[in-house]
Amino acid sequence: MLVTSEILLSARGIRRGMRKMFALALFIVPYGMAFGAAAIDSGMSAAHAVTMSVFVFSGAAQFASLELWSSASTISLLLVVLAVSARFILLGASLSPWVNKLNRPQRLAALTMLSDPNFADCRNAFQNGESDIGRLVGGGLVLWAAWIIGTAIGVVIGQAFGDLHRFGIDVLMPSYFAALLLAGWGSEWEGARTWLPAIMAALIAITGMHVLPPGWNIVCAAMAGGAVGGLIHGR
Amino acid sequence: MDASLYGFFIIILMGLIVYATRVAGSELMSLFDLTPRLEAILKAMASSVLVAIVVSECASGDLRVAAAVTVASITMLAFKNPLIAMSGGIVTAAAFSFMS
Repeated sequence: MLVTSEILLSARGIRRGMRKMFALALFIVPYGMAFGAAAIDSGMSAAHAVTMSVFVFSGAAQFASLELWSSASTISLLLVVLAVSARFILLGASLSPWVNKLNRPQRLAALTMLSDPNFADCRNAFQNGESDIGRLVGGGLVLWAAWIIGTAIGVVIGQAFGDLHRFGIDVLMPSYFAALLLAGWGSEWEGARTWLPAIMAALIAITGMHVLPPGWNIVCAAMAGGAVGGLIHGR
Repeated sequence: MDASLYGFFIIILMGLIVYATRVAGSELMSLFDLTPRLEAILKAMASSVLVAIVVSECASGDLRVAAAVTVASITMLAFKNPLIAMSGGIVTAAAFSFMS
């Protein structure tokens, strides 16, 4: 792992990040439309849906909140949001070798744009010598813009298209993540150090699905996988 | 809930919670030194999150999601491009929806 001492956050890095994530962002528009349409379907107002995409910027948390939006329990809703978002803690920790070299205001600003796709892109890039955290910010900005635009379109015309599941948009994230995993395994395969944590994570994720509250299975699976990775590593 | 102020209040809270999770990892790690073992743990956690998400999506959906992910994976191995792979998955899922 290369860790340059000159980690920075620059406009050039931001532009690079924007370019890297731009193509994926085009797909995020229909994904946002799916959320917008589903939100209206669940009884949420258009204003709420778009505002949520602006302030929350998380498909997982937002879709999860739809189930509970019309219920009386705000606390349950917020706990579910916390559970499905807890994985961001792990993503942030993963990027910390680089991100923590920024000063605190920069860090706190940059991390607003942390999302799964630009995390994966950046972690890979940082491991290969990228030193500009702007890449994370720029990538996040285009994803965020696409998400908001998609939501706005979705609340207006989503219903006219019918259920966007018909177009397979709901498999966007698992398909993309599967591809990212294969990319990572292709370049960083370390034998048992790679597959043993993965198997553990898969097992915990599946068994946790029906036993744990929503989102907790992901967190537990990730922690279990991490623990296995740490144990194998030895001292 | 209609377009009520309470709704916006909840949205702000949601936003704060999610933002907190976005910065918490980095803040926590500033308290610890990065040993090789800790690095191994973080690395394993990062890919475990992806594994967990993919696997639970496949397990909770019907054949459609698993088929989409399978096609996406094969496409990825063939073309080495995540977006092409993702498109392959989406098209597969759409085809399933179309046929059922």
